[in-house]
Amino acid sequence: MSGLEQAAIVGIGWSELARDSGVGPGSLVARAARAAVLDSGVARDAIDGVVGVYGTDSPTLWPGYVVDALGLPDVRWWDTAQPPSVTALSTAANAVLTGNCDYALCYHGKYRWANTSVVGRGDPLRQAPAHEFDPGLDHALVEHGGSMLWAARVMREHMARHGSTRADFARIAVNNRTNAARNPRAVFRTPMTVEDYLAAPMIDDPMCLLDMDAPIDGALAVVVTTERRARDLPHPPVLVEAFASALPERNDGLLWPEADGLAARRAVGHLFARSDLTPADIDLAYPYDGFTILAMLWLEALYTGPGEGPALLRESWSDDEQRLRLFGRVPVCTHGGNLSEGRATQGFGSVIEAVQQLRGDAGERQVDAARTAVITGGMAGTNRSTILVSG
Amino acid sequence: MARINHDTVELWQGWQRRELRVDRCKDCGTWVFPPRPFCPGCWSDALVGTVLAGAGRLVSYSLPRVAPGSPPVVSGVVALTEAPGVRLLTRIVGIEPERVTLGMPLALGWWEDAGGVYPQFGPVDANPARPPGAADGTAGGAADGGAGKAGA
Repeated sequence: MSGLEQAAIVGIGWSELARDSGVGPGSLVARAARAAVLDSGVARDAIDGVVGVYGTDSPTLWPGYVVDALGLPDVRWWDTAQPPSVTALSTAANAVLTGNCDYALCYHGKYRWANTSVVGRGDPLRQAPAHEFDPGLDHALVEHGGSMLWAARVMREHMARHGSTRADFARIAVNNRTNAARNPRAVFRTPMTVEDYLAAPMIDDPMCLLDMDAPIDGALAVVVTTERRARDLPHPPVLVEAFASALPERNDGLLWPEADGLAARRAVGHLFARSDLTPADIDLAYPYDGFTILAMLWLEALYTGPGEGPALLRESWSDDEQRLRLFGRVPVCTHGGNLSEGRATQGFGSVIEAVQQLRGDAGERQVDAARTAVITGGMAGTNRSTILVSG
Repeated sequence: MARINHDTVELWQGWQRRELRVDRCKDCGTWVFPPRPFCPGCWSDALVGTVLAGAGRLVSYSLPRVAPGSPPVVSGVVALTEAPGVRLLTRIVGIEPERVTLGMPLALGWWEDAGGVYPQFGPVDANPARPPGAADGTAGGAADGGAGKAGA
């Protein structure tokens, strides 16, 4: 990157990730935030910035709540961001680099609200969110069309145009589940096979149950500061090498199934234009996997031409290990991704995992000599991606 | 059902009259949909509502899960051939799901339920003046599901 100082991730923390946590969303965020501050070695009173993902379906995650819950005495900067959670990380990094704050606490949380889960609807203590989720003007015009699950049409379009098959998408789902078996954070850890995937019930044909992440309760947090300050803290810093987004002219995947692939390709171009690294230099790949089709499009954007993802996955597949190793080297979603950790994470699980790997602190999941990671986040309209490197 | 607000009420009122009305920029010819405050191409305010016949082609589709025993639903993205750059997400009716193909030509029909009248599309049948589900202006489509035989 340029000669500018870089931001560094110096602390990580998370709450339990669970289908039913038995606590409220604020408790989840507070627990994750406390854990991240304790991990960082930064004194509580020195936390002077708070940045959180503040989606319309997560009203109690307002930064002021977190300041109160943690008893932070002198916060002088706060900000919010929409998912994917790498957006909040970039906002926090910018805040410490501009000097608006020195140590930013950055969090992401998600909760199975009454309107996002059948079980949630049956629980009187899961109140409806303060703001009813409103998909917005354009969606309102088309919702009588039957299915709001735009990604199913993106997947269909990919299969029709490029000849990809369900078995190709199965490799992403199985890879992530195999990796999740060694991740104590993950909610879905039972090993599965390609045959299990092919037998899973269809939700929105061609998309099946195992193509999508599931709603869960949970929160994750990091502490961000400058590289210089990071040198005085206990953990080896993980540096934020670059951020980027891409919003092409068309961003509504409901009407433009090709928008996600275009956005991914442009975002990867913008991201690596901000770094001296190239995709070939990356040791760990974390393509956003809220849906398997999104992971496919991000992998194609990183490593191949359009439609060549299935061939890459076939060449990279180990039947013995039931997982991917791109080019015989690069593992994909070493923690199991959103597919295994659940929709509470929305990409933030990849940040936590990448930090553990780049610190050399990932336990039995540790990838030897991993020094660089790419995390792509989101889809057309709402994407942000980052490169993290060992400091 | 569709949420209606100040920016979409005219469009929705057109649907109740079974009119598919799409704005077009008087200055540069760009078709503008969903409704926008001005032309995204040249920023002109001169948008003119234009009623379309509703010829289209299928961009992509999915088959959302339905209750056991219910007729299948085909949820499709349709590109309007008369208005390049304009697409709708609608139900595709009058064809078995197994016969749906990307790129197939489609014709506009209307679907009526308690919440109002909405556009839907079906295969171009032997009599293009009689697109499926729109024959007599009564409910077709979702209720009897797209399970009907095309052109039958």
